[in-house]
Amino acid sequence: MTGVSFILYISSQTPNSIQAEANLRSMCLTNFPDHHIEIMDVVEHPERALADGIIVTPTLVKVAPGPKQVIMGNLSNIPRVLRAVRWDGTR
Amino acid sequence: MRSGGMARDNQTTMNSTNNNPIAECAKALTGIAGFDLITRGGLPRGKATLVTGGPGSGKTVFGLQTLANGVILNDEPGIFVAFEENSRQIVDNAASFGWNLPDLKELFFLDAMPASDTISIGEFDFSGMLTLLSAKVHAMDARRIVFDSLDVLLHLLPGPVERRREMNRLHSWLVTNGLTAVITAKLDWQRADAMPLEEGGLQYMPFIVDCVIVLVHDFENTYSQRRLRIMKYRGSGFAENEAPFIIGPSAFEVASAGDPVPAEHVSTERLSCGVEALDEMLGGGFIRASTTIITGVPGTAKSTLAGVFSVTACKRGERALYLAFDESGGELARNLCSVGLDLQSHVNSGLLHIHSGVAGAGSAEEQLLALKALVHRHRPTWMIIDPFSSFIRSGSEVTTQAVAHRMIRWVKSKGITLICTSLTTEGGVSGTLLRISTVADTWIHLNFFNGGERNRGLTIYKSRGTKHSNQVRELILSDAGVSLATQYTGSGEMLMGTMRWEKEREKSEELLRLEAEFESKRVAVTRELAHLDAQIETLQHTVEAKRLILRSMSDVEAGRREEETLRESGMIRVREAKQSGFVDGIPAKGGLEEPAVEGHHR
Repeated sequence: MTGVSFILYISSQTPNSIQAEANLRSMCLTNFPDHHIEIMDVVEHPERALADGIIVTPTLVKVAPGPKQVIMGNLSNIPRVLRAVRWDGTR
Repeated sequence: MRSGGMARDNQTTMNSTNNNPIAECAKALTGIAGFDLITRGGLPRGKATLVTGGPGSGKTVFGLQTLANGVILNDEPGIFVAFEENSRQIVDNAASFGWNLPDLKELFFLDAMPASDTISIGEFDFSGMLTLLSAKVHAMDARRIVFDSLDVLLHLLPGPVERRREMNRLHSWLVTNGLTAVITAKLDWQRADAMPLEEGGLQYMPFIVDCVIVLVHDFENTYSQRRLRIMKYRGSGFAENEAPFIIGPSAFEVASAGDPVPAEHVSTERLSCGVEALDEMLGGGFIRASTTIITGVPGTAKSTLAGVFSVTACKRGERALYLAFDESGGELARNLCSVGLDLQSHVNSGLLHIHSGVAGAGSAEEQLLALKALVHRHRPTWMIIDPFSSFIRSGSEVTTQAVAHRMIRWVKSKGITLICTSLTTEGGVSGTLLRISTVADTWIHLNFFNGGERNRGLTIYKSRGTKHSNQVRELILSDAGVSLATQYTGSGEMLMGTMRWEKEREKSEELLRLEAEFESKRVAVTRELAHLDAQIETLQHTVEAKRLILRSMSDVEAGRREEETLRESGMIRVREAKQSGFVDGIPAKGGLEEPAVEGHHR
């Protein structure tokens, strides 16, 4: 499982955003050796978030590979996140 | 306390609505016809309003209209946060109301519809969305915002605690930013069995917002009825009753009783109706901005009379609006042509607008609002509704009556002279019409009078502020137009048509006969007199003759007496000569024979 690309939309230093980023990094380290994470702070880049239609933070968007997948929340349940972002039908 | 923003609002059309001496909270005009009236100025400025209602009750339209009018009328930029539809769908829907939203640069749409494949894992909040909205609000100096609809947002959250937390977050964000907000929520207060408040976690929302509006959509006698109610409004008075509204061609419109007619608009100007005799009966014509009802059974020429009034108004140069429910404009013009009324030329000149309405095409509310739209477009000073019975047919009696009253008041406040025709049965006037007639200033009733033929009779039942005739006149239609015949009231009964004509002829024949009789009598008497004169003359002749005879007779007698005297004296001389013993006077004649005669008699 290689070449996984994520965008995580966060709202600066809010608790859920901090927790989501930590959970995502932890998950990627253990599951996806080849991963790319883009952290998008909506406070700093509101126009980008607006364009992407982000309504809640934190929101994780898996952009590649496979179809786009949107997950809202602080990603507290890593196994569930893993099941959601797998595109091979094993979830 | 009024903010500067309120002052800005007051420059717009609704500057007379808030005349309450008690200072109310600052308000933001919605520009929704009627709504700003019942709320005395619109929504609470810088505060949140919750608009609730079932599906299709008009929540989105209300929000959109508030926002669009904010830009157009009040120069207040706005943001529409769409959770349910994407902005393209909303823009398309708005186009059907004639709003070209993409042209409004000060209106921003945020597509916040959650993707269908979105899942949620763990806690999240709306701080991100609010953060980026804050950025947008500052960037465009937005004053208004709409969240459509909140329940979609709340359903993303796992439980009541999170929902309550996010509602508070949203509300405090709105207050911090000083935005006039409309938050819509799917809530059907009518359905007791539905518990959406608990389910959606919305039960808290009505308490934290400053204003709650309830929209209801149901049916009355198969006619769609929409009603709006203000459940609460902090710091402001408001109309507490349900107000009917429609979503019509110009979007959301709320029915309101409207302002009473200002005293300076109460007119005493008399307007000729076009029928001289009727003007006389009305004491000089209709009063400007008065309401007249013409009732009558079918065929009594209500439309024709209404047509005369319209043409007369147009000839004066007034703009007239003719709402025809029974005939199309073309048919009406053609039919009235037969009595010499030329509607078409006034239609061509643009003074007259004939609108063909469809009876029962919508609820009475919708008919009223459609009428208002027509009035705004054509700007008439005369208006005919023919027949009013079709106009108010839709819906229950209570509703239609209320609509009719509001319509008449509204029309009056616009300074329009209104003529309504209304169908009655031979039996009389319906309950609704009777109650409506109390609002009307003048009530003209047309009826048929039987006398071997049907003649139209015109009566003025009432006419406020007018010394009106109490007589029944005959309405006569001819190629030359419409006229009223002077009624014949001989021997205390009123006569019409042939009966009147016959009576009149009878009368003149009688007169002729009497004249002839008199003449012949005169001749006869003259003749008699002449005859008598002749008789007198004849008699005089006779008298003369008799006199002559008498005179001659006297002459003869005198002669005879003389002769006798002479003879007697002769006899004496003879006796004196024969015997001297006869000294006694013995009758002269037959003196000698007398003794023999005497002797014979004995």
